[in-house]
Amino acid sequence: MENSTQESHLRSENSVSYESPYPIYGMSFSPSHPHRLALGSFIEEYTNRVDILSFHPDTLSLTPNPSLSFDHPYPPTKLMFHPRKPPSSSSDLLATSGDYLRLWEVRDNSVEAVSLFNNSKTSEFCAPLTSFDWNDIDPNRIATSSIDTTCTIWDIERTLVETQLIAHDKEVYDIAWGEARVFASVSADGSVRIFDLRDKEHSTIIYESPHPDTPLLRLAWNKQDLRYMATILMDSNKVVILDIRSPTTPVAELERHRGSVNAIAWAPHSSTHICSAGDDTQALIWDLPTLASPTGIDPVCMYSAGCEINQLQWSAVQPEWIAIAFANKMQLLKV
Amino acid sequence: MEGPSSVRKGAWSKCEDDLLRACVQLYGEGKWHLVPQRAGLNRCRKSCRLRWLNYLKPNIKRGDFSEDEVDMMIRMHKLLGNRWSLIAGRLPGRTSNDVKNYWNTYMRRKVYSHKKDNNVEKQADEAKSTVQRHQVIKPIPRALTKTAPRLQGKLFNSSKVGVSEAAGAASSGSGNWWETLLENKKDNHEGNIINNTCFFGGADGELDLWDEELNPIACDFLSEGENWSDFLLDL
Repeated sequence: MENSTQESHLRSENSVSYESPYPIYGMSFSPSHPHRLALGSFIEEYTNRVDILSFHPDTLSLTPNPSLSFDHPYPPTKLMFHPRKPPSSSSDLLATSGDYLRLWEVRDNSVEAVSLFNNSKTSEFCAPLTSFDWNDIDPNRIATSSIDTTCTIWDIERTLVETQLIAHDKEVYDIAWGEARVFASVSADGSVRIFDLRDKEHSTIIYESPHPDTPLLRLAWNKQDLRYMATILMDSNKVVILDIRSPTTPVAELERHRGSVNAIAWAPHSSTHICSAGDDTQALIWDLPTLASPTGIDPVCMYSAGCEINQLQWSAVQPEWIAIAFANKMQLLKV
Repeated sequence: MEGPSSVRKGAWSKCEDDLLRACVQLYGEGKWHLVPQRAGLNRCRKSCRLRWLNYLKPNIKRGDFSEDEVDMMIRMHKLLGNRWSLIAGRLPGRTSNDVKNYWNTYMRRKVYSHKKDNNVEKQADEAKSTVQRHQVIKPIPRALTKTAPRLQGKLFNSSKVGVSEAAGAASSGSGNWWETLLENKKDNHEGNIINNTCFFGGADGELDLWDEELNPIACDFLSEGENWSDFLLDL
């Protein structure tokens, strides 16, 4: 493991590594099984895998569970466990997106395919999905984003489309719920838009990228303080922090990465901390200040991986752990 | 000049294949009208071209179509119909002839049935049953302008009142998401956990810095709100 600066000195008690047989992209911590992680492969072919790992914080080890590994068509663009504990069951629900939104039941020793969601009116095939978000206030809703410019709200129990919106002018790359009936999305058209399911005739543009043709790739809504969102622009080293009450002008732009930013995540337990990771191989944690600084904001923590970091997840049940994915590796960092 | 009746038809012999292969190696593909003469073949140029493209070309794949290829074929056929050369263009090593024959032999009767593993197959069956009618809605986007200067003071001094006024001014008729989001502020504040463990700090000094950075979060909600307001006022 390379250490580009002194601050990133690696100590074995503060990180856990797992080497996968294939490149990794999708990741999810399970809220109901605190030591469970799902990893999705990123093989540019039809056949891909989803693996379930167990994390042991006392021994600092990660072990795969072969009986919980399953085939998945195409690389999963997002993985997400059910945001709550199922009422009377030891199994877990995992949603995956790709060619379809799919639902899987993760049991003690097997994984069962539960549902497949298709929103196409005229075909058995659905436009590829770029991402989705599971509503944690109303877990019967999942919102998906697609390259066909639409966002779809699904009724999970009935396996039906609740609403489909033509959300943007170009591909929609990410989507995030704010609350039970409000979500936001980012697009190749360069805008962040907010939608309220109680008023489907309108959306609100709260940000547009400074150069009209620069796509926005990822969106993170601060669940500790719903006034704030973060987004990233294609081929840019900036993390843009938005205040939904102050449209069009970011409240902050975090510019210490030395390459494109690939992933962002707000801290699940703090409203002012956010983590970002990118092509400069660095994961940075930022503490957003209460006063604007003329010299820009510096990160409070930095970690260097061996190569470009593609994905990042901050565990909500164990907020002292952050997961990053780079090449074939997944690493847990203790913060 | 030789008459049409003397041009050979039917199955190609190994000798003819060798001659054609040597000719293409020497002269390259194309200019098929010259190939019969150059190769010393008693065949029409179309026959030479098809023999090369569908059979002799070195990168042609033999053997059964894989799961991936069948899946791609189905999707491309859905998009393009019976345009076999375009479909074959997306299947490296497969010829348009292979694709057409495979489709007409296996796919047309079965209408999209094809191999998948059990889980995916079960879900694929569901895909057909879930084709459904629903309305796709296109919301009209509104771009809110920056908050008017006269509202800035009110907005930041009293979030509730400020937002109500801003919502009224900027988007009459539907400001629900403003209000409901802000109403949830208090709930979101609960569960705010301080974690002073620092992985990144190498020296003790930096570890202390990390602790110091986290201290402001310990303030109660009102203080935090004030801090954020101060931050925004400076913009």
